[in-house]
Amino acid sequence: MASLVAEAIQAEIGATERWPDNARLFQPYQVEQITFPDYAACLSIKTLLHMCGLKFKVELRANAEEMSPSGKVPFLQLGAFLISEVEPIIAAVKTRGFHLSADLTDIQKSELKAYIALIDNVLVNAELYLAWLHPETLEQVTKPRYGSVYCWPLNLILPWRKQREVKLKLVSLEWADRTMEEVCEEVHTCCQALSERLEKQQYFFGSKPTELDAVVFGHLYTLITTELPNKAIADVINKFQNLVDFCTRVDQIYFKDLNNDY
Amino acid sequence: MWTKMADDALVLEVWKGDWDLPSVDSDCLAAIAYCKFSGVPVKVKPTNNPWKSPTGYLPIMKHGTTLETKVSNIFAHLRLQGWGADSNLTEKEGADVIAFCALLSEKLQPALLYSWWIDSKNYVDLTRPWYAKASPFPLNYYVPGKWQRQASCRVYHQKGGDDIEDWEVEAKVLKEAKECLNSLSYKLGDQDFFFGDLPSSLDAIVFGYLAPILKAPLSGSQLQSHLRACDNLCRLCNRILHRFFPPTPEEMEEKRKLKEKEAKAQTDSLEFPHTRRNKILAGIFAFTAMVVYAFMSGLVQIEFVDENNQSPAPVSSDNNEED
Amino acid sequence: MGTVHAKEPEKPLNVRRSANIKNLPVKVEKVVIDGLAKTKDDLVVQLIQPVFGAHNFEELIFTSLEVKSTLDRLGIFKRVQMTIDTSDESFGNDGYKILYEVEEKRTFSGSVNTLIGNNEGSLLFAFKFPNLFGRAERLSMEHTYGTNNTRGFGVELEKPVGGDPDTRLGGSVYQTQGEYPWSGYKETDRGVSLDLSFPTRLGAHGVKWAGEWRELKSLSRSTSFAVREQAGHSLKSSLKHTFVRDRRDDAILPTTGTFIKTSQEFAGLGGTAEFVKGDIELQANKSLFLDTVVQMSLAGGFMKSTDPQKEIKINDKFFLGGPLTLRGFNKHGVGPHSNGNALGADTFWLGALHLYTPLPFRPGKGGFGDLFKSHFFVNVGNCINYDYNRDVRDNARLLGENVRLAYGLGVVLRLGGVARLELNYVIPKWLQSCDSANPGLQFGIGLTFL
Repeated sequence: MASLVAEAIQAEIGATERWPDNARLFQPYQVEQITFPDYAACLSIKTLLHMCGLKFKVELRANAEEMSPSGKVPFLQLGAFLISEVEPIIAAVKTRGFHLSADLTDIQKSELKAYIALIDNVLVNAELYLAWLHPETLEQVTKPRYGSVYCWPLNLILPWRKQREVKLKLVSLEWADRTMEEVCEEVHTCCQALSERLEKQQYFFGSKPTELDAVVFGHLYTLITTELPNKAIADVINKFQNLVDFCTRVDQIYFKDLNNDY
Repeated sequence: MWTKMADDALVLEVWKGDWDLPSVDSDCLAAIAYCKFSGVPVKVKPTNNPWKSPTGYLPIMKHGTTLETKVSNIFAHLRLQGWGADSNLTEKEGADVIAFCALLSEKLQPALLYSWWIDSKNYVDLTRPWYAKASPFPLNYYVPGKWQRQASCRVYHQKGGDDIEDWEVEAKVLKEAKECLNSLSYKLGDQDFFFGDLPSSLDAIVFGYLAPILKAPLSGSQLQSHLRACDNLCRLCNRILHRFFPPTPEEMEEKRKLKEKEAKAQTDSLEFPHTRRNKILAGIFAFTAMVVYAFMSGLVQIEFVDENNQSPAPVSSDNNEED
Repeated sequence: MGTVHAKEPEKPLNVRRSANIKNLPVKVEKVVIDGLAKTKDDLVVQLIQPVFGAHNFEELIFTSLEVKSTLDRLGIFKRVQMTIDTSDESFGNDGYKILYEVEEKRTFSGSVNTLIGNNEGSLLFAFKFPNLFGRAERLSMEHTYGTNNTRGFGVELEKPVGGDPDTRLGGSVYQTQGEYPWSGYKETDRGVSLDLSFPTRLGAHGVKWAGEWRELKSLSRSTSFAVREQAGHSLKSSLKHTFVRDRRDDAILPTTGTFIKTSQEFAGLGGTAEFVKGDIELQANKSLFLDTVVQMSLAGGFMKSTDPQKEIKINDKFFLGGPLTLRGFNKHGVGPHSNGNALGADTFWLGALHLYTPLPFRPGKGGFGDLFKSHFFVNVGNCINYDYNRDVRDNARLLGENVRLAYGLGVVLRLGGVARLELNYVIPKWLQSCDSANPGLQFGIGLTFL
């Protein structure tokens, strides 16, 4: 049991494992329930799997978050293994032989890791801040959505509990006491870095997509297209034309042309 | 604000240095290193006093009326003043700087905090005594404990799920740190600095993180051994130290004196290996003898008083309770 | 010499007079209750009324003893002492007065108790106010620490209704959490409840409404997916009726009498859990020659979801198997399992036949040895999930197929009048592949058994 336990965190299952036919991705209900930070993570994973050409089934569950072994969505069921969160899933996909960035040099691989860390460091926290600490968004969008699948009084208690949890996490990362302007500044710096890195290329590392492209698309697309009371972050991203074009391009190739669901 | 305020002195309040380093704190090191790279006429003051800082942390940069504490804000301010070590970077390289800073913050910093504040042996033997001694009274009681709690919070918040054990989080933190070091090593390659022959802000920040891990006398630190195995990163740190922080004659003199004192203390303890133990034993014996004499001679008496239960006792076992 | 004859006394020295107490007229003139401080008068006045209805001495004795017992059962007096005396005023020979000397319990009391559950134990710290406002309202605050990481906290307020200490109305607020390793989950419950219990000639009834927020989480990474899928939050708002009639002479090692307990629960007045559930337990004991007792028990339960779309969650289901019920199987070891986790079932039935004898050679007879009994037993039972595609008759037939059976012998120890300890050697004879059997020596401790 101990080895499975370690693997659930490390997700480095032997390279001899194949991609099963019954792979399932569990997430909360898309239309009514999921909050946009979680949606960004789900979209990143879906994009990655589409880029690898892997088949999977999306399972919508109201209790996906509680089912997940680490308490975060989405999580992937590959046979007997459950893997949750973006980075372990990327690692699991790699060890099953689908390594999008296999052709990169070592330096480029380092850079890939660095930029994914940048997304984690800035965009993910900015999304959490906007969803759970920004009063307007919290009351009008996040809380109603999060509690929509529960009856009274759980639909009030559970969002309140989640908000406290997220706030604690952001406090430990020193994001909680920032203002919206500071958050937008951080997003601006991040997007500037991404934009400068992308330049005029099709993807971040040339003409073939990598894991970074999937993650960037997932977050930027969510932030641009979600209807929110506060559009500050979306405005920041929209200033960078090459990023917007990038999102449109990936959207076209991997979702619209292939008729894939979001 | 493009005018160089050369008249106002730029002061950087930091934690003092040890183990051949100008400072032991990562952020302070990064700030000092950047100033040295850019040729900033900075006055470094090892105040060891984070009390006045708005965030509770050092370094504090004071320049005229501006007060900044976060490293990125300090760098930004210096750039605005025209002191930049990044002026020769391309846009892509500038983006890389930001990305790698994020990588360090996400993957390396938790391991650093862990080695410093959470690993029990290092915390008890090295970190707490060092910070307790360095901090002015009365902060020396308060600062180490507070930072330990914050470090704990930061490292373990990524737990996610109740059934993940602490050791698993530690293993994950360490693994990611090692991967981060590998990434840095690849990025640096054979170059002198990350972006060629001149150091940049990334070199300052990397130096800030790596130098303490390299130089501090940590025991049993996997992180330290892994870093020592990354030759080019060690060379980078030493290069920066030699080029920008050469030891001054006073410091060399101090070091020599310290070495002599240590040697003397060692020989002393060899002659009287159990001096301290003997002192304590002697004290206990003397005290016991005095107490025994006091009782025997009747100076002190003990009475046993039987206190009757006047008031009802608050807790009793109630056998007749039926639920 | 002459003989001396003693003269016989007029009357015999020992006078035996008999009086028929039924015919002795009685008029209760005064009832004095001494020692009331906090207790309100009207409560006690209401209770002592029966005494005034006594017309003869026999009735006087009975009613006054009944009133004393009622005062005891209120739970607010430490001690009740009763004295019947003739009344002071010489109003006639028939006047009596009754004096009740009571000593009230302390305003609050604390206690530390150990509780024994079925193969688990816990420590209970309680803080009670036995008489909060003067009318025998009882407020108790409890904190429990137990095995299987059980923790609980509750506040309960109850009071007797209509002056009858056996009819009680109560409300409570509580939070408990515990682990269920045999099913691979842990649960945290928070809820409020309101209950009314009252006796009738047939037995004791209880009606309870409970609103409970249950949070289910997988216990570890190896929990089966079928259980993991049920993780999450549910809200149960249910109305439950319980009826108990215990006419046995002892709850742990009865020698004679019958026992019947039945409950019905309807969940669905709001909340997410929607089902009806009923279960029944019967027991009959008969003493045979030579201190042996034969005991037969039967239990069964049934539940059905009232919303065809919703499945009943694992924490509401029935479980079968254990060292005191279906012996020879691990706890909850009978029925559908997934990866070693018991999933529970909608219906079950269980039967047991015991033959109790004193220990061979009767060691410690008359004292310690009487706490032990040896027994031979046969346990039989089955549990299935109701198949909604089939009708009732088909499902009943399914319950009769794949029945489990186990038999064995062992020793039973009675603990403190509340709990029962068994050490048995069991042979499970009929079992299914999905069951988790425990043949051989099995140890069990608990309050309820079959």
